[in-house]
Amino acid sequence: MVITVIALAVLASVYGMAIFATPTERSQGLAQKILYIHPSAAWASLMSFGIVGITSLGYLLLKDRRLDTFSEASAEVGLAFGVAMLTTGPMWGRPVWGAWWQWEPRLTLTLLLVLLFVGYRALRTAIDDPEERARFSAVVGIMALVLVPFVHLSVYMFRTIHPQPVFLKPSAPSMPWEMTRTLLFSMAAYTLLYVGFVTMRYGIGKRREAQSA
Amino acid sequence: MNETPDTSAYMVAAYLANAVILIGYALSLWRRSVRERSPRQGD
Repeated sequence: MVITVIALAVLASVYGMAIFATPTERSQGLAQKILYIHPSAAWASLMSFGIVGITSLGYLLLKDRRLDTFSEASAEVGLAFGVAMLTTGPMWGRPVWGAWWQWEPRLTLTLLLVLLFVGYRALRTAIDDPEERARFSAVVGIMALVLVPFVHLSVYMFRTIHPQPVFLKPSAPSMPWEMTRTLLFSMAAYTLLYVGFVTMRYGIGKRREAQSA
Repeated sequence: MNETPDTSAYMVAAYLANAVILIGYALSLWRRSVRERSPRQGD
């Protein structure tokens, strides 16, 4: 809980930094400042889902129930960040692209990934036997891991109107330093928020397991 | 030279929505943590 509260306070200072201490982009106006929260939510969501894939693989290899509990926690946290990403993205797209949504590769693949994790949650709810639930959901978690790099690389692989990555690319960041530092700070805040959320959610999962044992 | 468009409403809406989602999720985790910690009837 402490990490989450600190992370939310850091996020509040990201808001302050983005609004008051970062220059306004001339052609997009203040809507451009949405790009200090939307890519960070996308980063946190993809990181959460990527970790689900890794811990799921770990579960299948080691059969350690803690890895399954952690996968469940990271998947739920990833969905929360996914909702934030899919909510803030259209609010940038409407004034800049002239449309709330475009069925282009990055957006469509991202939506599919989020829907896959809605299915992951449904699967976990539908199976009563803990071993069977852990095994089946680990397979789904690993399948989703395959989709994560495609989501990131989709802007290079397909013709798309989605902006290209600012940091996770071979060349230097393509923004002025005043903007880059705010986005970096925001990504750090979301990473800390992930740690806070997943710690809390893992604790809930562990207590549920202990009570049902 | 083109004027900077007034897109402030979109920024405010996005920042508010983001805060509501993340704080709402944090509160949901806190509530579930408290519920799981409290002893159940018959314990």
